[in-house]
Amino acid sequence: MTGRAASIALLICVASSSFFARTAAHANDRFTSDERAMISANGPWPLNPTPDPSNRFSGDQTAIAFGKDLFSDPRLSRDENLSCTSCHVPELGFTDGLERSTGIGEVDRNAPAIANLANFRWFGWDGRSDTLWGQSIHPILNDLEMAATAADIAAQMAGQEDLAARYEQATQTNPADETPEAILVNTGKILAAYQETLRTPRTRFDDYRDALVTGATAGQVAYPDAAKRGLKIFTGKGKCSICHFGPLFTNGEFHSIGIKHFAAADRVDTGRYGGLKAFRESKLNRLGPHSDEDQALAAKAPSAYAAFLHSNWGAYRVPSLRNVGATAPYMHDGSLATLEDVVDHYSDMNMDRLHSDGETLLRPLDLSAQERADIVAFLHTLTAAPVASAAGD
Amino acid sequence: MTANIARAICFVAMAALLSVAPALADCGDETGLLIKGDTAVLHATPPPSALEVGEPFALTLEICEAAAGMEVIRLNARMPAHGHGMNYEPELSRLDDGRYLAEGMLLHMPGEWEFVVDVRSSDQSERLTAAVDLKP
Repeated sequence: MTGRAASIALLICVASSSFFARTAAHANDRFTSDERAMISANGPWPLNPTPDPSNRFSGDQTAIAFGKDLFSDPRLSRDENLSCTSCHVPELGFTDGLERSTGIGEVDRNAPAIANLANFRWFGWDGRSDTLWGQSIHPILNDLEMAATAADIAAQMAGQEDLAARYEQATQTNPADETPEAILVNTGKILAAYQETLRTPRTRFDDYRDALVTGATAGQVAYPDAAKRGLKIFTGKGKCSICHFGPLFTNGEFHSIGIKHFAAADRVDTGRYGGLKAFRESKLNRLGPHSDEDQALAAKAPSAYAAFLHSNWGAYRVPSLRNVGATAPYMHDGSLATLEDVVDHYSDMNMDRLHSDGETLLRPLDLSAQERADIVAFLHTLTAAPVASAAGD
Repeated sequence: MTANIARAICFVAMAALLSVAPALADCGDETGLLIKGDTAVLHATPPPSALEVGEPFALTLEICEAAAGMEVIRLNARMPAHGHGMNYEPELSRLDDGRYLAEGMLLHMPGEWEFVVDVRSSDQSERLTAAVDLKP
């Protein structure tokens, strides 16, 4: 063989090996039509957030800028030593990394990540609010969290020169002329206006999902094989995507998945039952007196039809999986430390802990070690850069 | 011989279809969902193909055929294979034109759902069901 012929043969070998490698990788994308439909439904990303009709400050840049500063302002707490960022740390995906959060005292729940909230229907692990501003007021008043009162917040807004000026700028009202309740509600709405802007960026999964939908081969090849295998389990035999559905990777509803219901030896966390009860009793919802929404429209919102069910007991809102790699520990009580623990929970599920009136779809998945690792690999592709405010600085 | 049997079967099938067609034709939009029972046939809109996972909707029900005095008294939806229904309790009202409107419906998962409709008259009642395959 001449030198030239050898070079050509080598070139063909290199080219063909690359081709076969790509073909082999592409062959992993063998999803059923149902699995492809589920994957397609997990996008496109990002979503277009819609303004909150119940919050007149939603989308208002002045309120958003004020809300961002208030979010880290300890003057909203009774002892002026805690702020929203005490439990929702930006560098930790707006969680705190703790099993259960600690304000003035320890609460029963894990601090949920706060991102992409503009597209949520219910807020909090138990869905105690159908408004982000109502949910934002809850920790300010909770005795175990910031433990302030409406009078405390009003005193700060009216008495602190910088807060009074920015409050008036954002609301067009002088805090000295308003009731403590009105000031508290406006504070919640201003905080919500900022939180609505917190969004997770596109991820490797989103690139792959789009490539799968459009048939772009290069985009499909670039996605790790382990993640593809994990995604197939997630949408296929694992049935994970039935609840972790849609672009947010949550259907926004409530399920019991066999996590213990006891917050302490002598105390049960009632989950969605308590949340729905609190929602019905609250004035801080879409149909309440502080809502800015057309009440005829609010009366047709899903929350107006929410039903008390036996299965509400011990059920919690399905969390979004976007950015999930950055928000450990997991579950409403933070009882699972890692994503591996979460996958193990579903693989080895204890049927005795499941609600007798709950989701019968749940069964131990009995996954192999490889399958567990693949699902974790997939979940990590749902995490990219840190959560950022779409409103910018 | 075989061909004649096939023709006969086709004839009987076509005759059966034609015999029910006139009554159902009064139900308007043919793309809706027919909910059939022994005592009533209802027509529901929008059709299942127009429903989306997690999106609230209102369902309009029209009585196509029914025993005398039959009324729709309740509508709900459930997932038989999952052992649960909706997380929302729809409100049913009767419209001026005689149709029924169920507001507050929301199917929160993809998969096999079932609309469950209770109808009742002074002397009989029935629970009607119709399968709805909710695509992702």
